[in-house]
Amino acid sequence: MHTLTKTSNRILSLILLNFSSMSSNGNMAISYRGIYINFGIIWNTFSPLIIVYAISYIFSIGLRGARGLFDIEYFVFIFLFWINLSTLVQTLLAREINNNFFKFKSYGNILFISIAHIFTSLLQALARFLFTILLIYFFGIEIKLMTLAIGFFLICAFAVLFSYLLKFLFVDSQVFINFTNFFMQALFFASNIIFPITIMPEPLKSYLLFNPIVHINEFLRESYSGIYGGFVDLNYVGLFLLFLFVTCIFVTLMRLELIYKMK
Amino acid sequence: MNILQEKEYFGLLQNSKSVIYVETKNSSIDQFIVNRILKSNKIGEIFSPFFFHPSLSIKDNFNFHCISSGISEEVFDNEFLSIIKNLPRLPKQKCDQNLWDFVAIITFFKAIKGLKILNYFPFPDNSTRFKSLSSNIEIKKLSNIVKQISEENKYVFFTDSLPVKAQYFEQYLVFKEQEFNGCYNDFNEFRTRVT
Repeated sequence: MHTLTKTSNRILSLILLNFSSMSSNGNMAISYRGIYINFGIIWNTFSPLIIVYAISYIFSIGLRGARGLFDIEYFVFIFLFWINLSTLVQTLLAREINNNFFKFKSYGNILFISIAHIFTSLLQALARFLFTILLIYFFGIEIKLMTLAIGFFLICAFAVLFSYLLKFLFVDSQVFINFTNFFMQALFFASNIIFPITIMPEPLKSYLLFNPIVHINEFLRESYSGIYGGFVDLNYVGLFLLFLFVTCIFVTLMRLELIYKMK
Repeated sequence: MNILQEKEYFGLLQNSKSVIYVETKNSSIDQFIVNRILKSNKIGEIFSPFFFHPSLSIKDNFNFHCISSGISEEVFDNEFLSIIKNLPRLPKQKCDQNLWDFVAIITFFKAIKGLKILNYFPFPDNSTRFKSLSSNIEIKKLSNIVKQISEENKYVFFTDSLPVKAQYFEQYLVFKEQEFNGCYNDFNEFRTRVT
């Protein structure tokens, strides 16, 4: 019980550290007549929404008088979930563990730092999700809360397991971080975020269906459009997440030396 | 006079205020030298210039250590807490160096439960760095708390030169690199040995 409390205290303090780091960037601070306000946490959490809203709006109204490609009420969430996923993966991989601050501390190990970072990113993702729901609600657009909640939960679960796995496999390898960033960008176009799976050419379609994110996105799209293509299989998503979970446990056990590594 | 064998000094380190003088070819005493001498990195926590994260504010660092060590703010003096409470959220670079170091060392002594190891201690002395102390009331108050802490607490101080206020320690150990070379309980004998 004592060890559990100690561990949770350490993770909690690392979450605080993550949020504090966001506000440490002096560029987002305003100092006026002795009052010092720092927007670092708000900026770090909500700035990805600018690109999400801008692209969603452009795709929904269309350009040069043409009709919009998608309805904003679901596309904004599909794009937001993707941004949440890529942010979590990229920032967790980029988090350097062996810096001067952590190397003198017994809990500066990969497990605690990764868990704290995952929680930090999830809290930010939840804040972005709730803010977007409120915004959509404010504009009087229909919200399918249960569908969105399932999509959010599944994407977050995938993001957590996927990023955890990559972090434990490749730790702080800069080459791999660059490669992953490239892979994530390629995956953006090679999935059904912009174009629905139904319009994809046949050989590509069958390959894309191996990607669980495709099923989740299609689930959201079908729920809103009411047009069912018969491609969605949430059982596959569940089994894939279970497989990732088991792999994560296996990899953690294989890399125990990283957790118990001497200072 | 050597009063202890190598195997005996570890026990005493826990219960006395000690100086470990290291004769080394390295330019400074770092974490690796400390670990080699103590034969373990789990014997205690070392106070380094990075005990506080330099890019975070004093208040955030203080909260971080309180939460991670599971201690309540109540263990600190009210005077100390009121100083912390009124500090702006600024990183180390924009802070007063004395203010930063004093809060860090006070936090270290309260937050760390095991053996406290220091290879750097912001002792308030007559050096140029501490001359501004008299002009700032808050820093002066903190400097008094630091003085009190250095007198009341047990800790191990690693050094490669004769430390300031070395005469206030209870035992003095001498190492040549990582090899134990002698232990003294008298400051004058220790000074004769190392100078």
